[in-house]
Amino acid sequence: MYLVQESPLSMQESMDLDESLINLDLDEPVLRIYCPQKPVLTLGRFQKPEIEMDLNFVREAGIECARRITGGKALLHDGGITYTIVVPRVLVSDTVSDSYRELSLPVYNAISSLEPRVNWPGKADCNGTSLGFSACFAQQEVETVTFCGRKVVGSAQRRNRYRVLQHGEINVMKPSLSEPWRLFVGIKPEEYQARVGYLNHLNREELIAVLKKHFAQSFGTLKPLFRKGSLWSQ
Amino acid sequence: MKAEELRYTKDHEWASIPQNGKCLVGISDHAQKELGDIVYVEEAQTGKLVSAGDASSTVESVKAASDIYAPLSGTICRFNTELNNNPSLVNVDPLGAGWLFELEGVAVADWESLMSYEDYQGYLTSL
Repeated sequence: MYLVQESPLSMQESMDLDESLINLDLDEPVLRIYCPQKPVLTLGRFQKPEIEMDLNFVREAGIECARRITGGKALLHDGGITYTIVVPRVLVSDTVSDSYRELSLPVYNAISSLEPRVNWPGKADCNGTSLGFSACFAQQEVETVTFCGRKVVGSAQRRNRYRVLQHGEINVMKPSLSEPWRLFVGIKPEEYQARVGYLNHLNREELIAVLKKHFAQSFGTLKPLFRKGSLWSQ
Repeated sequence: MKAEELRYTKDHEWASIPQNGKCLVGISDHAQKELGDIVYVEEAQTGKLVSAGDASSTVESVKAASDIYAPLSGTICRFNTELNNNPSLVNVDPLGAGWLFELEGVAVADWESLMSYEDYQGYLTSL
């Protein structure tokens, strides 16, 4: 398995890089793990920000926005860990739900090695329906990783004929942005707070180390992959 | 449409028998089950010339955005606009009301070279 070595990028550059990775002709999985340097909002491939986001608040808060190539809902990256894994389709199950489980397993194993109280798969104990929220972390599906009933990992996929790419965000530190729910239209503060969790008692660098370890256990020893312009080399 | 009357690709798209060079395109029942609940279908670009195997649309299901490929060469002449309001038609009736787009300028010989229903069933069992 390759581990992409990159200097810090803007989130839009990161998304563009991911798009190039899913089209890269490699027969081994590729992993990226990074921590955005400042709060940034990523939007699902088909989301309509003019309807689902409070764009005035987004501008007022000075939040950078980027469009993901994956599906799903909007996600605030603020103090967490972002990962991208690209896997040849022959290495994972064909169904979306099964491949989610397989690609999320190393993430769960890594987190639970440091915090055994995380729950996966399991439904967070929130009341009422959560479908329809514009915020990724307010959506709580059966496969959601939760801590104390709150979602701590958000993920989404892009699939083409040959490869599956999964993006994920692990909420570690509490966001620097006060009132993050104001970014999203149609969610009340108490709904957001009841659904969104953080692993702020964990050390982020330690968590990155165990993530690499568990991805390597699932998909092979990590080998560095570098980019120079449009060229990639080991 | 009857499953037996359609032709299929290894990417799990189907194409109806061309009539006056036009055929409908959709995804198979197997494909819709693999994808899960479909929540959005990207509008295929009408007037676009596509070659067989080109990515022509994208569907979103369970937070996964997946490419849909043209089974045949031709020009996309119509998108199923019912899917804008009701993308779940692809799950409910993948071979009928859940068709995705229409191609024109399709060669019958190309259509005949796709997998028959029986061949496609054999292909599925080989996966």
